[in-house]
Amino acid sequence: MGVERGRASQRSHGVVSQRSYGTSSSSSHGSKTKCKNCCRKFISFMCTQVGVGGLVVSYAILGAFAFRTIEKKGGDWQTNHTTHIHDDAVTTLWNYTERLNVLHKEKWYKDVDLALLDFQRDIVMVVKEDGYDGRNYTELWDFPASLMFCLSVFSMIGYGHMTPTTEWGKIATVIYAVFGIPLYIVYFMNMGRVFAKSFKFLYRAMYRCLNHGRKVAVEIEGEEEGDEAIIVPSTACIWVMIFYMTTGTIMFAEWEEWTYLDSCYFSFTSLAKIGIGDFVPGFEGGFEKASSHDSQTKLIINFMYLLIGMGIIAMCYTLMKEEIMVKLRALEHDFKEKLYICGLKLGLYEEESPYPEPRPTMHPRPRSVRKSVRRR
Amino acid sequence: MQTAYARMVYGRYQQRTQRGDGVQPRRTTTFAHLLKDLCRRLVAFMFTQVGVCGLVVAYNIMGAFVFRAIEGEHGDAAPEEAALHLREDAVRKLWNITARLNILDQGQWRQEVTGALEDFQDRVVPLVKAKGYRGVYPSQAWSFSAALMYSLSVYTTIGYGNLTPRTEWGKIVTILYAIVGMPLMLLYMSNIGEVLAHIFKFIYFRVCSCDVGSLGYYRTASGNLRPVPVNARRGDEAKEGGKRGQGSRRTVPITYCLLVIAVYVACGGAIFSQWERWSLLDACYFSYISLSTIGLGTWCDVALSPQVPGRTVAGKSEEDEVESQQIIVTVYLLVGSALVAMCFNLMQEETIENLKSFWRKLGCLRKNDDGESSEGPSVSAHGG
Repeated sequence: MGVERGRASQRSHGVVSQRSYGTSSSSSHGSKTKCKNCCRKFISFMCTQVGVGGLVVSYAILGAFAFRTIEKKGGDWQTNHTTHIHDDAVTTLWNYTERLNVLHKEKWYKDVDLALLDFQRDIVMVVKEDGYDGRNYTELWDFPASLMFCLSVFSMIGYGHMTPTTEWGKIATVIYAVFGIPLYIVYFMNMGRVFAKSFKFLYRAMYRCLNHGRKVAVEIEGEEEGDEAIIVPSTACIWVMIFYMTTGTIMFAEWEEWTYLDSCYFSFTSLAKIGIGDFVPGFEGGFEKASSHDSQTKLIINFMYLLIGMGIIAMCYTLMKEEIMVKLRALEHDFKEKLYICGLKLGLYEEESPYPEPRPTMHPRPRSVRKSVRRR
Repeated sequence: MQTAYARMVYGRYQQRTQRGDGVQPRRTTTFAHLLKDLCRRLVAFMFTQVGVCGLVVAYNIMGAFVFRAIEGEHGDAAPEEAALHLREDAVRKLWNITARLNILDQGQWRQEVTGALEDFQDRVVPLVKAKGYRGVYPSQAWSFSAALMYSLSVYTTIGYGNLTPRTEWGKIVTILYAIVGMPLMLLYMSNIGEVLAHIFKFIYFRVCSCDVGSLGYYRTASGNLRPVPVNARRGDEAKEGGKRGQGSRRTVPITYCLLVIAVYVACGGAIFSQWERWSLLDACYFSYISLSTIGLGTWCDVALSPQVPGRTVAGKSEEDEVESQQIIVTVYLLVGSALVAMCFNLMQEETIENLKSFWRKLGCLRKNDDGESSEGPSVSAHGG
């Protein structure tokens, strides 16, 4: 992790230097340099937040259309399959009824119950295996739903509420994931950086504002120079995350009429990319809720909620990493100092040892310890 | 966490004690010191590879027991009972139809029965979709190995969703379990990934330095069998390793990493297709979806097994075999995720190198600028 952080700081450095270099070189002429410049600008735009965000969204939309067209072919087979199961069940029932010429009620009940158990098992299998939903495929793979499917694939959530059934669908899913996941990771890191920057800025402004009201001017001077050192504490990140999750919880609970626990569970499992998929908005019940216009807008809002939520999680990840690094460094210093004091106490080295000061700026404690040693 | 300074101090201390001269102070290094040392060593051990592995496995097993206790023994079987009621209703309805139509006219009878069955089906489907009907009672469904799979799928963020918690406590515990488990998993991935990457590199360069001719791209010091060769890499231009003479900056090409992953996926596919009687495509699809932590779990219910690997419909036949299969799948996924982390590690290095040279070609970076492109790290910084 330490490596990563170092890289992050390096990265910003690199971007700055690269930009300055670009402006200086633009004065030179020639079509080659122009082309180069253009290319560079395009790539650097693609690496900005807007570019990556747009890329992710357009990738999702593209995927949605692709899966719609691919999966539509699988529809006929499925409806055929269910009608086939129906016919079978009816035939067996008819056979039972016919065979038991005298309708002996209990025997009949027992047989029919068994037949229905078979039928039910078949139906459950179809539902679980092929994602049969009672709706036909054009309804199931409508645009928002396939958008959600694409999101769940490339963000690695994987709800599993709808799954590709055709062979081509499966192959396409694999290929889509192969390209989508790196793209998503770029988005994740980028968004994390942007959000972290803006959040830090906000936090600092707030911090300065609050302290300004509370403290006298003398303190502020010292604070100004240490402005860069203000780190957003991880509690703040956690609060932001909790706030975001609560918003989602209330939103989903209102729309989908879930209990609060359920919708909290849903938003946690989605944002943490677990995606168990027992609750997916817009897919409750299957039969009762036809995909109305209302639920489509909801699905799209849900899509945005998840995409932004990932960014916020990335932000928290970045900020917390920063804080942990700072804390670790402090711990290290502390540890060094303590070890030095231990050494002194044990009399490992005298006062004029080549390493007299572990660190120049310290709390008053080590000095007093050293004094006591000297006295001894 | 031992820093250079601490190590230095410690070394001095040892020298003193070994030499035996010098004023040996009162040695109070008795029980308390021993305990401290033990403690420190334990913590240090926990962060080593073996410790992290053990921790992950122990966490997994613990989770399995907890979920089993919560969902298996005290789980509610409402959907299963509801299905039972539905079926009873349907049977009664069918009886009524049959009794009413005194003369058995097959055409009419068929029509009506079909209607009744459709009605029944319309009620069963939502039960499966929304309530998570499994057809198996919770105590059976949450067998030990199934719970093991569930807890794995939670903290690796695969999330198959074939087994879902129904009780409130199950949901709460899932959230808590994930909160603790995911950082642990990240630790595991980064730790084991690094180690595996080192091993892989070692092996790769051993093999590669044996036949330099075929891999002319990496012009290593020929005949040099050391795993950490000097910075004789890539000839004259591009001496990225220039900072230190460490050859550890030599990279393994991406294609090899992808090959390793592909082979692993294919192996998994072959094994699963044998066990589960899936087609090879399906099995490969399953292992890919799992290893990339997408986890579209509901699909994995093919004829024999309505759950993820293992689990027959009735949950009775071949119980032991199924259990062992599920445990093997768990191990497969754990090892696989470490392998994926390894490849990430290696690919990250390679990508950074490539992008650096790319930017240099474009003229965005000066020759000696060590800064990195804005794209490279973000592509690859996922490893952590």
